[in-house]
Amino acid sequence: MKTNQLYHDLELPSHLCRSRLFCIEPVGIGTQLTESLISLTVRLAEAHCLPPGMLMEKEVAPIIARTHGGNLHKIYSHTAALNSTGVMALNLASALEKLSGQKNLHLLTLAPWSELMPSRKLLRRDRAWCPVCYENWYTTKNVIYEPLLWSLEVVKACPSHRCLLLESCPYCHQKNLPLAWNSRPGYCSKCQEWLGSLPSNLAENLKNFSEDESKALIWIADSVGDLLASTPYLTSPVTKDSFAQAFRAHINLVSNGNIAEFARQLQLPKNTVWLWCNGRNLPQLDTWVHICYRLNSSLIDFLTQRPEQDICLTPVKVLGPLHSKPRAEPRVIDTDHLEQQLEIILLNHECPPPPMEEVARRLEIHRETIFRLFPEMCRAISAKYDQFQKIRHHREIEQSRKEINQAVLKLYSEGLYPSEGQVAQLMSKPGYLRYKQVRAAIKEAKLEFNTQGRNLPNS
Amino acid sequence: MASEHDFSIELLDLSIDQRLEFFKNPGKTIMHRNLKKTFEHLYRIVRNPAGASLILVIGPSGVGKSTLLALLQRKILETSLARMEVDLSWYPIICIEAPAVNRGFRWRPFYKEILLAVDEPCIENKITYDEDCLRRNKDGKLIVATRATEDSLRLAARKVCLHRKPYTLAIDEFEHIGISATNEDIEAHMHCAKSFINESKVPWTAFGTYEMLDFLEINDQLSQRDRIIHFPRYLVEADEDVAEFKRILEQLLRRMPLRQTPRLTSKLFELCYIGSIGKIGTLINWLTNAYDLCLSEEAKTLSFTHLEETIKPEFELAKMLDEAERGEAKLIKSKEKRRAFRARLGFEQGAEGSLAQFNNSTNLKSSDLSEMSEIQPEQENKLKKQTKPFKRSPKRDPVGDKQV
Repeated sequence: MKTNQLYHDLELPSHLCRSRLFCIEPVGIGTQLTESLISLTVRLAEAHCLPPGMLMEKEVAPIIARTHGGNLHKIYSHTAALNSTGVMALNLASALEKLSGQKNLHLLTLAPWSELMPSRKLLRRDRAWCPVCYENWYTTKNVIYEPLLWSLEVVKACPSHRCLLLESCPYCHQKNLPLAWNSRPGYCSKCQEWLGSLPSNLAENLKNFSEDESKALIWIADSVGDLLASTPYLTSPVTKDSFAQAFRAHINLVSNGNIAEFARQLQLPKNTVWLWCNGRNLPQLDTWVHICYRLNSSLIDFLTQRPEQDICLTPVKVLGPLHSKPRAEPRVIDTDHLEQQLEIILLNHECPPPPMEEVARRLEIHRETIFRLFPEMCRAISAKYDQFQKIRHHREIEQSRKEINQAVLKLYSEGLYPSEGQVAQLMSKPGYLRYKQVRAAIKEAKLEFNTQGRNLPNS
Repeated sequence: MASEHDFSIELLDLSIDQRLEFFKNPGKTIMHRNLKKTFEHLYRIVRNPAGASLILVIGPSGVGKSTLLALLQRKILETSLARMEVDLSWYPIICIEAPAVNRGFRWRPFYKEILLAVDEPCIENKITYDEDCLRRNKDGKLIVATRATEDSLRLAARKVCLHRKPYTLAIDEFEHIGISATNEDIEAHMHCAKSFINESKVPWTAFGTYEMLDFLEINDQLSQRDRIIHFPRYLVEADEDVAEFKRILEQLLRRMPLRQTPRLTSKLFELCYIGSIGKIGTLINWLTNAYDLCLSEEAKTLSFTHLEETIKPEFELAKMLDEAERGEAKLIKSKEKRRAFRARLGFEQGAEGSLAQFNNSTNLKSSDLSEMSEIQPEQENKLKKQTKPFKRSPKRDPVGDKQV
């Protein structure tokens, strides 16, 4: 037998770097119920038998290496952003890609739509879920996860079960953060109770809405879901320009290109619509959904398909007005009357004199407005208040010094050493010891006592 | 013989330590016949377990089981490189050693070994969301136990197997499971192992001494889906074994960096066989010691006395031999055992004597049964072929002390 057949190497191949975390497959990519990045993080933590907070802190945070990055304690109030369009979501996606070897995790966030979706009012601050989905996945032994759709502010209902999404736990009645230290798919992160339930338990929570309203809510969920489902199939990134183009095409058909007319029909400021048409600005997702609902065109059709002839805005108003807070009417202030009022306050020997804040409250006019109109009088009122405060302060200090003097004498007479602590107990305002002149009073009182020739007791 | 020695001549000018190191840790292993055969068999089964969930590699201590494990690990990694590059989270094989602590075998460190082998994050913080680990304090605040309990480590280890999907979990020194354990303990251990395998869906390859056979006797739960691979020592009764042993011994002697290669005489062979009872691992360790002695004396070559001085004491050798023979008696297939077994199943009559003998010599256990039933059809064919017409059937002859 030859030597090379006789021997066998035992050294292992050297380049065997394995991924630190399991490679977990995201659920539902390319469907309405695409998994969210937060949900994948939580499932990954569960697979490793760790609380998500621990996983974020020990594994993810060092990779992101930024103060706002993975440390859950610092980002609790912003955890929704981990599913969103910005850098936090992209950072987490790339960190998890590095750790688990899984690819394309940005598809689990709204990052591919960052050009089209302004982040304002985009994502819910609290976790929302469909209990029927949870229960179904549990009974059919499917993966329990959270779709990205549920985290959107504009989506109120589950497209598959036609019920409202829940936001508070039926057991502890608390709300959940989108990502908490103890998050777990399907369970309340506060009390760890199972959140799934059958449709019968829900008492058909959509019943509170009229038929039109509930139809609209489900239409919105469906339409936004379809948009998310199309994410992986985007051939080129959708830009502001393509959005503006789609907008102009629709306006051409609805009002012959008359932006003002279109804006009037939508009850929107025409400038705003004009900015959208020029690609300078973008509507928030809820406004976009509203417009699409009125145009009877799903979000994805609005973007990708050329509108057909004879479309018009449907006059449905179930979604309510777009601008819920109409601009306040300018308020007319009777300056003569105001001046008189101020004069009365200034000359009145009220004790203590009121500060400007209090005056503004009494007159029900904003402090800055009064100041703009009558700066001199305002300054005078403030000066009067300041002066009074100074005098009061001085008086309090004198009072404290007197109290200290008495306290020191009292302590000596009882044979006790007048320490600061002991003196403080006998004062009506011990906090005043923070002032130098007050504390000096102790020293002075002791000195006076000594010069009178009495012996100090042992401390 | 191609050349007198099997090392580069420059080695002779190096220090004693370096020469010893060359012999001790060559970074490769001698592929002797039994190792090669067992390795090929094992590799085939690991890659295609065909329903087997526990592969037991059984052989006497010092026969080369750990080397076999190293070979297996290397081969599996080598053949998996392409897939490993694509699938970054895949571990083709997880190798651990069953830990032994002073009070015997414990599962907690065992699970930890698995987690350490795959570089699992935050091992000390593992939790299960079971009710046991979730409790509330007096204010009603939820407390999740973050201590790594045995349950949480077990769950984590199971999930490692589920997600990393290795071909097998290879466990060296598996006989540690029986350290200072009662029969009930061992039974419980085997149940634990079985449920772990069932839940994680990853077969185990356990390397151990003949002691492992005792576990199977105690609990036949695992025998349903186990596969035994015997890694035997070389026996002096078989000519081909002797030839192979001589070849290995000669190779080892030629590999010693010495001025003069020791001559392999029949006397030397005999001593070497006695001192190692036919186990190559033991032989190599002993030769290393003898070579060390030889180097320290600055002798020209390895002499008989060097070996005599470093040989293990007789009582130790005898104990080794006892253990090896006891195991072999159970595992080595023989005609008598097979015939007795056939009789037990009612295929042959009048073999009660041999059956009794068989039962006495070895405690029959189901692992043997499965092994035997596997080869039975083949054996039956052989027997059929050997029977010629008009030839007297030997089974009518008196057997044992009973007359037919």
